[in-house]
This record gives sequence, structure tokens and C-alpha cells, in this order.
Amino acid sequence: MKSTFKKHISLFLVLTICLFSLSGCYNIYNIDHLAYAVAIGLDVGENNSLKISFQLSIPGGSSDSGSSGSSQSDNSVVNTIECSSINSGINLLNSYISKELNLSHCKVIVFSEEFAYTGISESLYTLINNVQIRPDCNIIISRCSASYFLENSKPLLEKLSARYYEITPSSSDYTAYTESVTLSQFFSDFNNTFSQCYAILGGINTDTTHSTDNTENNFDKDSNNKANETSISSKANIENMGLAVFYGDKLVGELTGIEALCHQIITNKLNVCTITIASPFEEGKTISLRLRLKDKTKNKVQLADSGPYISSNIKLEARILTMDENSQYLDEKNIAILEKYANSYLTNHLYEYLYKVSKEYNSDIDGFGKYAVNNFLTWEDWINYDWLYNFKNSFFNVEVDTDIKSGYILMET
Amino acid sequence: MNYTKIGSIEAIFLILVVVLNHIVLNLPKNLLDACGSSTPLNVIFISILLFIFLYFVIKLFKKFANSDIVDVSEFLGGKLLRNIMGILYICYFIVISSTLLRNFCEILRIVYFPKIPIYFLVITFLLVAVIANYFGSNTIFKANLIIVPLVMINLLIAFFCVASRFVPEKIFPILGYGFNETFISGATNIFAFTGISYIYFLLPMLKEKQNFKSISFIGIGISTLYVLLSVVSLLFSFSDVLSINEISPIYFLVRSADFGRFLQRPDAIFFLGWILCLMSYISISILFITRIFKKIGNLKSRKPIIYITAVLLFIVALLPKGMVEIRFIQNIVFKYSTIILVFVISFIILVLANLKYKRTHKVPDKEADL
Repeated sequence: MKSTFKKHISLFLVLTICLFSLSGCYNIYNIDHLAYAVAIGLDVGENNSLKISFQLSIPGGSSDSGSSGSSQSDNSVVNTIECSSINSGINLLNSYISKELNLSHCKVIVFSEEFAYTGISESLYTLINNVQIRPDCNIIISRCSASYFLENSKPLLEKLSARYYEITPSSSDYTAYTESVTLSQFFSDFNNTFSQCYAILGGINTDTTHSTDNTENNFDKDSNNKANETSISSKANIENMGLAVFYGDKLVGELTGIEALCHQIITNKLNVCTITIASPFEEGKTISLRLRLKDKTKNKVQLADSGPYISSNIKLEARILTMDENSQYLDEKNIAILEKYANSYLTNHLYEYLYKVSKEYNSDIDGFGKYAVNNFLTWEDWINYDWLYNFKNSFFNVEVDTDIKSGYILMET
Repeated sequence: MNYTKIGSIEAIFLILVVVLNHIVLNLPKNLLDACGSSTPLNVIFISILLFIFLYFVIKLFKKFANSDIVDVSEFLGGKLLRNIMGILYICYFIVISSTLLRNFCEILRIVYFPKIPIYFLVITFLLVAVIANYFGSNTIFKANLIIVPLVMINLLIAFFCVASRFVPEKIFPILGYGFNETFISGATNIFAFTGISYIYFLLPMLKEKQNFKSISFIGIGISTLYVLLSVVSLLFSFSDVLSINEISPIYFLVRSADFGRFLQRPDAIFFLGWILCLMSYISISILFITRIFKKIGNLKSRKPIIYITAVLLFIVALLPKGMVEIRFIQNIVFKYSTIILVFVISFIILVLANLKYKRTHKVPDKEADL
């Protein structure tokens, strides 16, 4: 009898809990009440301290609408607000769009170059503090204004803006001209005594922004550009190339595509990339190589009186992409010459890159600090040494060993 | 006292559920705050201390094979000491579990239920614990037997998924905030293994009492491994972990973990495991509190006091005004109360009880008939 009563009570409690927890509530929020932002742009305000832009996804906007006149993607709309803070901007937008702004699908946070030069610390902490913003959304420093960047982000081969923003930075996996930098990584580097933070350098490619700079080596032109400078002829569209370098929360400089590649070689993040070097066999010709890391780059830091002595031992593996009717790549001598050329090309660029980030920007974006810290016993000693400040006194020794295997399908012609 | 007897695995998981809950909340961060980059070294050091301590506790319990710490207190100082120790442990379990409950509910509220009042969430957990207690200790331990491995796997996946971000060089400077902070004042980090407080009550509950030693060592050993894994994961993957205070470092870790493009927001799955783990822990806490209540109050059944205990937990959980007070209780009150009550007072009582036993019993290996 007692057992039956117990069972009934338990059943009643279980049903009561299910009733309340599984049924819909009268005040529940659903997709009809929410406006999803896929990208946020932050600029210096003209009439207020901040100009914030939200690229909002239009539900059902991914279907073909047939129109292509707008520079903005048809499935999203950009709203820009002048405000004193990010949260007051969100509040103002909420009152305007009559839906609650939700940032849980935000894929990209764009800071304009101008804004980044003034310091982004407050915005960064505010964004990290927001539960809706995911730590995996990308950080882009735009060479144009953030609102212009968002307004001109027109997915060419993708219908959904959110997916477009998600996929765009991943091109670095096979180009190495930039790197996919997430909010979490950026914040971690920012709050760090071992390294400085960096972000994707972005811009809008238009006819007026195409690079006109004539360098001596024509083969260097392809990769020695930043975003907004490439020679791609296209309708206005997003272009991510190079990296934005920070000291603390302030932007201090920008790196080109080839410098971003050097950064990835040093930090062991290089997946695969293509470089073009001058042909050692025929003047005026070039040879393209497909590079990947053969072994992890070994970095070492020794602390000398004159400053940190940083050595990098780089081992690369390459395959030849360029072929013509006289390619003799089964000859060991030819391969050795080519390897020497590739080593020299990369060593020069690596030195240029390393001295640029240390002497010009004083920003340890490669995280050499983590190799220096083992010279200290306690945290206090490390903090007193002030690595991030002392990085500018560094001098480098780079050794590159490129192992050229062969071509792909063709070995010799 | 007639208890439902539990097996060795159930006993090990009982010790583990306590530490796992503390790991999910703020325990790794507390340890990292105290020692910095030398925290892994500190955890290894305190676990050695803990195993030595545990060895002596097990030795001291040999004479009291069917007793818990409250019974031993009674043997030493009569009913007065029994009641004092009972009340101290009741207060300890109430404060610690209710603060843990409140802290978790606050996180749950911030992340998933911003519009739901905090008391509603607290009540939900307590309701489950009350029902579980009504079904009896067997149900609680059986449920715990399922939940604990799930959470262990859950945390292992979380640690494994951030492994790609590991920078082992972050273990330097090897002495962290200093030698003193790592080995002298850092020894107080032994509070992290609060699971040992349940070991004091374990003996009368065991089916196979001869396994008490192995149960304790395995339970604390796995706890040590998890504490070490959690601090290593946080230290190696986040540079900001030493300078920033998050709501829960493990939640931060799970949020940042890379599960590929297909599974982008798996933190809810982790939360589900942690919710079950907390429910199990609160049920066990209520079980222990009511058993001590029953013992010191000479009650026939513990069932009437289940509600009272739940209400007490509810009130204490809602007492802190906000995260500042919750963190104070967790960082200061929890730390020092664990050290004083679990590692000092209880140990002294065990030592004195053994001395008294030796004086009163002439045959040395005869067990106390309590």
C-alpha cells in the first residue's frame, strides 16, 4: 500500500516537472523575436565616441531574389549607430528594429584601422564579457572603415553571409597570406606577458585600391601586398591579406602577405603555401614552389647583455609547381641550386620580417617570450625583465633548410 | 548504525563526485591564483602530502572499523564531542554544498536562463535531491555510479579538445610565484581534495571494509589526476587564466575548445553532464547531512529531516548577495574550513581516540565495540 502511494507520488512529481519543463512558456523567445547579427563593425564615431555597425541576417534571404544591383548581400542588411558604447548601441538598435539583437551567430568582428590605432581594450573586454558572442568568431582589422567593409561584403560564391564569413578566413590554410585569428586567441595574446596580439588584415578590393607599386622583382609583387593592395580585378569585395600587428591594445603596424607567411613558418602554423622565386637557370623567369613544414620550427632564446638572441631553425619541404620544356629536376645539381635559391629567398624575407616586428613595431607576435621564460625561475623575475618591452633589442639568427622533392606529375621534361 | 552498504566502485565514485563538482566550478582557478605557473608542481606536491595524510588516517581508523568520525568523537569525548563534531560537519556540508549549488545556478542563469529567477533554479536541484533521498541511499549511489563516469569522460573530452592549443612552455617560470608560494603557503592548497571529508564517514557504509584503504587511495588518486589535468589544461591553453576571473574556467575552456566545423557549440552537452553531477552531489550531501542529524539527534528515521535539510540548503544558497560573496565563501571559507575541520580537528580527534583506545584496551588489535 505504502509502495503504491510512493509510486503515485513519484509519478505525479515526474509528470509535473515534465509539464513545466517541456511545454512552451508564454514568454519564450523564438526566431521571430530575434534579429541575428552575422558581423559587427567598430569605427571611431563622428558625433559620439563609437560608430557601431551590425550586419543583420534577413530570415529567408538566402533564396534567390534575382537582383544584383546592391553592393550589399541580399540576405543581410547593415545598420550603423553612433553611440557611446557597444551595449548602448545594441540597445538603440533593439528599439529601432523592434526585435532583440542576438549575437550568437556573429562570425566576424571588424575594427577599423583608425579605431584600432586608438586602442580596443574596452571593446575587447566588453565583447568577451558577452555570453552570446562565441570565442571562435574572427577578428579583422579593416584598412577602410568597418561600416564600409560590412556594406561591401558581397559573397560571390556563397549565399549565406554567416557561412561566407566563416569560410573566408580559412583561405589562409592554403595561401598563408593571412591567418585565421579568433576572438579567443586574440584575447589570450592580449592578456599575455609572452606575446602580443595580431589580427587578420582586411579591406575592400575596388579598382582604385589595386596595387600600382613597382618593385624590382616582379615575382615579389604577388605576395608583397596588404589587403586593399592586391592586383585582383573584381567587383568591390572583401580581401583578407596580411596581418595587423598590435602592441598591447593598439595597432602599431601591418604585415604583407609574404610577411604573414613568414610569421606562420616561425610559429609552426604553416599548413601549405605557394611561393614564387627567381629561376636560377634562366634570367627573367620564375619558379613556383609548394611549401610545407618538414619539421617543427625550432626556436631558441638566449638572454645576452645586449638583448635577447633568438635563433630559428626552419626545415621546409617543397615541390616544384612550375614546369617548362627544359625542366631538369631529376638532376641533383639543379635541385641543390634551386634549394639554395629558395633558402636565400626565404632567409631574406624572414630576416626582414623579424627585424620589422622587433625593431619597427616592438611586437612579439611570434610568441618568442614562451621560449625566453625558461631562463627565469620565478614569475617576479620574468615580470621585472619586461620581455614585451625588451623584445625590440632582439637580434636574430635564421637557418632555413628547404628540401625540394620534385614536381608533381612531371619530374623532368 | 545500520546503513545501506555500498560496494568499492560506488565508494570511489562518491569521493570523485565531490572533486569533479569543484573542478567544474572554481577549484583550478583557486589553485592557479595561488601558485601561477608552478601550480602543476604544487598539485604534485600536495598530492604527495595528501597520500601521506591519508595513510595515517587509514591507520588511525583501523581500531574503529565500524565507525565514522562522529562515532570516534563520541568514543573520545562522549556525547558532547559527538554533537560538536556532528554540528561542525553538518555546517560544513551545508555551507559548501549550498555555495556550490548557488555558484552553479548563477552560471546556468548567466549562460542559459537569464530571465529565470535564481531561486527557481536552486529549487529544481533541491527537488531532485529530495526525491532521490526519499528513494533512499541505494538509489543515490546507483545514480552516482552512472553519472560520475559520464562526467569523467565529459571532462576528459574537454581537456583533450583544447590539447591542440597547449603550449607546454607555459609551465615556466618553474617556481611560479615563488618557492614559498609553491611549497610552504602552497601546501594549504591541500583543501582542493575535499573528497577526503567523505572518507571519514565511509567506513560504516562499506560492504567490504578490508577495501577501505584501496578505495581511499584510488578515489583520491583519480581526484588528483583530474585536478592536475584541469590545471594543466587551463595553464597550457589560456595565457589569460592567471589575470582574468571567469565565471567558470572549465566552461571557458569548453567554450573555446575546437570541435571542428560540424560541432560548433557543444558546451550544452557538457553542461548537461555537469547538471547531473551537481544533482548527484547535492543528493549525497543531503544524505550525509541527514545521517549525521539522525545520529546526533538519536532519530529513528532520517526521512523527516530531508525537507528541513533541503530548506536549510535553499536558505544558505540564497544568502550570498552576489558573486563577490560566493567567491569569498569558496576561496576563503571553504579553503580554511576544510583545512581546519578536515585536516586538523578530525585528525587530532583520530589521534587522541587511538591513544585513548590504547590506554583502555589492553589487547592491541581488538576493534572498538562502539
